[in-house]
Amino acid sequence: MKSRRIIIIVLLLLCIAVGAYWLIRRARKPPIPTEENPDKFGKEVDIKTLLGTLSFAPKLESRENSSRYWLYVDGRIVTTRASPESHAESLKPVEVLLVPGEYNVEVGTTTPDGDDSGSTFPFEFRSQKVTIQAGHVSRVSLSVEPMRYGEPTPIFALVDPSSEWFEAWVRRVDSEIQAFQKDATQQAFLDVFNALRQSPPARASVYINLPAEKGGGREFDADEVRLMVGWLKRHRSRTLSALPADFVARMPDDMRLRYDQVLKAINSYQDYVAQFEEIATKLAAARH
Amino acid sequence: MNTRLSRQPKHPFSTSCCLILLLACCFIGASSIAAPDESTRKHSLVVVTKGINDEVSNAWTQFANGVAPTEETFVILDGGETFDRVPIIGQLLTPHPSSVKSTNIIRIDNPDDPKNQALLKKIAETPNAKVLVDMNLGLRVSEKSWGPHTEWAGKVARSLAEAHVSKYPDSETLLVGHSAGTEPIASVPLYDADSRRLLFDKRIAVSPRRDSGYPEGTICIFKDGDFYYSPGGRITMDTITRVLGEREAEMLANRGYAVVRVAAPPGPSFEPESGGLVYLADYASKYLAQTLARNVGERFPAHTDPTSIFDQKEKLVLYLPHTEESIELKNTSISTGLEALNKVNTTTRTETPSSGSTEALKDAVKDLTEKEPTPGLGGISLNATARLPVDAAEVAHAGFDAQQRRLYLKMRNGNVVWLPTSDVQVLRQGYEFGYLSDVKPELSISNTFFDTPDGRRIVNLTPPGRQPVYYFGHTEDTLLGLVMYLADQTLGKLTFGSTAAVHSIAEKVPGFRSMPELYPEKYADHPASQRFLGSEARVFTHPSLIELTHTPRGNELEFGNTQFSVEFGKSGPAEAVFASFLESHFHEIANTESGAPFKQLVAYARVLAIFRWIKENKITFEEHGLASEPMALVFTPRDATPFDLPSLNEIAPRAPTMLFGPAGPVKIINRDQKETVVSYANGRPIRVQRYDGGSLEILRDDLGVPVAVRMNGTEEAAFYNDPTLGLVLAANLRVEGGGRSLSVHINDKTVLIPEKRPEETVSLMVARFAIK
Repeated sequence: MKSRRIIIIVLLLLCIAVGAYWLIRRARKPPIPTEENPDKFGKEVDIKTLLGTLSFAPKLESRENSSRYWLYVDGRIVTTRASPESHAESLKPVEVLLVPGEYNVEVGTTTPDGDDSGSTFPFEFRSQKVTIQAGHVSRVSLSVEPMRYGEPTPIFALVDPSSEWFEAWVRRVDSEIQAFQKDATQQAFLDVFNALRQSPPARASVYINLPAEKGGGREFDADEVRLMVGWLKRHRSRTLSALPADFVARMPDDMRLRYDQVLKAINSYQDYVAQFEEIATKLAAARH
Repeated sequence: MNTRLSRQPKHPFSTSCCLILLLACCFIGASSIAAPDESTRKHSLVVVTKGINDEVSNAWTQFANGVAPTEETFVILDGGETFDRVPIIGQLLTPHPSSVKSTNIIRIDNPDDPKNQALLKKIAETPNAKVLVDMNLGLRVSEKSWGPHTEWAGKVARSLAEAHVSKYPDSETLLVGHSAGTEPIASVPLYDADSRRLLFDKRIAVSPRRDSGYPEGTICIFKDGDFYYSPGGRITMDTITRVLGEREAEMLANRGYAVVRVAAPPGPSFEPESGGLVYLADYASKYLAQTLARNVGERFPAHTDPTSIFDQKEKLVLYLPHTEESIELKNTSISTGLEALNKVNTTTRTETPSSGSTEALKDAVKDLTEKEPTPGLGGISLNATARLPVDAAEVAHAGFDAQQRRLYLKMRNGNVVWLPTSDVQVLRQGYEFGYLSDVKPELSISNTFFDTPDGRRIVNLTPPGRQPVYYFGHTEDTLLGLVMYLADQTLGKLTFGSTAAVHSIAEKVPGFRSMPELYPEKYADHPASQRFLGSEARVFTHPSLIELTHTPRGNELEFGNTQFSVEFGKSGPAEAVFASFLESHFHEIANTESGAPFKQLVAYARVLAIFRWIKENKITFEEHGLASEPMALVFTPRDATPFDLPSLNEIAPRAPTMLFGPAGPVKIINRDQKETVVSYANGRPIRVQRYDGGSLEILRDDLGVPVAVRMNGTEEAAFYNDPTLGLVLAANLRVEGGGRSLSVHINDKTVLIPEKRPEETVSLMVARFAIK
């Protein structure tokens, strides 16, 4: 009987000891590494370089035939350089630090002095895939030759302001305006314009979802936007612009009255396109 | 109000939690909430199984008690004293007195025990009961800790349903679960063994913990970024590394479930209220369990958010069972999504619920979205329909009692349910616009033209320096029109006002700041302000919830929760914070002298919502002289003075406050006037310099992708691809060098945490570091 009691007491003491040990262990917090604590880090096991380098070299046959260019990585502008024709510096390679992975490198070039006829979209993009590895340099070279003009659109010939001619001209204006309204490029600009109306851009570039035939959606900076708005203005200007004053003066009165009405529509179109310049203004302001 | 400006909701006051019970209201509607008069009740049973023992799971019980005080509510506990308790500093405390009768809180350890079976039967035979099945789960997530409790809850739910449908075969039954509480949905049999009738007509799994095992037709609700599945409490590597999203919604639909998915906006919010603490130091010293803890911190908001079903969401996507097509609803609440699914639901008592065709769902969505505020509105929209705890099918007619000057509902069984008292003029206008004309009264102060949704352009020419006021729903020259006008003027003043203009409100409602105070760069008048706002900006408000509940007296209803949503035409972080504050303090503001027009607006919104409910349910209204009450003739202004933005010297932000820039908060000023500064590059945070000298630096590559983080110059972490784990956040290491030689020195105490969205993790770190 007595020995049973002793066993029970021993067991109880054992339980208390185990419990106390457990509680102490639980209460003891793991040491939090601090500056003063030399054991903050364990034994060094590896050193990892975090970034890789993309080295872009502009490819050019002659400096006289080159364009200002924009370097893109995955649709985002990395840098822009003046034409090597006037800036030899622009021929130096561009280095971009990137997290390892696969990227699409693109270079956007433009026409040397713009295109007065507006027949050619002001950009052309050339691309190449590249794999970036940590601690390595991956080289890409793409041509920065300027793009070529397309065929200018025919001008609607000015002949005698007969009623047949005038009706044909009005139909042409109307169909151009209709085509403009359906144009995916101007729609993309309108979306961006509306988006930026109430919120300034936090960055100096903005994504514009251009249709695939214009190079597809990507970022554009203020200068690029200005070039494209210029193109939008000129693109249909061979039809959608005022007729020469001396030609209008030769119109009969009733035709001139109608002409004034059509001219209002043309002016509205021009004002509409001009408002897109505000996008460039806001992007330029975001730069500062 | 259209001024020189724009939205975003997110209630910090987490309605969050609890609204599982409201889901119940959506589906069983009126009938689920017992009218106190036995003979007017439609029989129904709602069983709610909550999730793990956290604040969220407990809070909904408080909500249930507050919303339906006279409703027969039972709580069944399986051991712990978890009901109405909130874990505070490691203890379960009772923050609010419980409104559930203590005799209705029952502990049932073994549901198979014949004595307990009898008790459950007695509860289930209550004609209109809501039963909160409260599992004592604790915080641990594992099969061992979940299994016994979810099994217990399943048995309780089954016993309740069997007893209920046996006594009331035509009754409506609903099983709602959240998180771990969705497990019983998978375990309760579909049919009653004897009658072959469905045990639960509808089942709703909020934040489902599995992608299979529920009966077909179950509605799953989740938000992008929620915890990945943990069926039965089983944690796998997927649970740790993945989150729920579009792919999971499609798979759930494939398996025969209807899905309401809240498509999360990119990146976490900067709301100071959000979540627990996540610091690099935490990462540095802990291992897998801590990895999960971190994920909890990051994913918890998405886990609990879908329980706030009346909050406007960024975007909802609805999926029908076995269909590949989904339907998007922009800026809508989950309740609207559920309502749409409910409308196309064709259920009989003996068939597996089916959710109709995509076309029917599209129609339902169209009907519901037509009720949304008119796009482009800058002002007020009174678009809400009330939620009544009465079964519309049981209402013989509604009417106006000329003697009591009050509305009532005459039930088919002859009983009368009185509606809350209102001013007769308000009732008259509510009858006119909510019932007779059935229009959506709206007001917009905006440009010289307004494009209506049906493509019409209304032109309103105003004198120079004035802004046109548009009244929709024939409300010009009515009191309703005037009330909307005054409320919009108040909204404009609160939103765009100078410090002096909102001083009286800020004094009564601590923490209130107008937009110019929060974001002077955008909302103050200065030479570059045009760059921010363009020609105009707009803000509008509309009721998002108008609810009626039974009074303790029984045969009358009173107004319960009334919520207004505040939205901007276009919103950024600053607008989101402002709107959230205004929504959660709407009634406080309405009770101030300057905010009084909001109080008037609330009165009209409530009455209109009741009449709209009567109209939508095709209930005959016997006007008994209400139509002959004269409508007060008033003049409503056709134009208004535009709100000019205050000049910079009219703004004197007071601490504590935040100042915003386009990318987020740039300065956080605490009560002691000490500043924390957040810097951005290309719209992304790169540095936080905290008021106490602490700093957080984010190192990025040339595309802005986060590469490493340095806290206080000592704690460092890095994002990189680990050969086995993929992209990880590595902590407790050294980051050295810079540029192309930026490297990490990994040691044997380095912690690797699988990472999916580094930018979000960085944003979270920035927000929490900055507001510490």
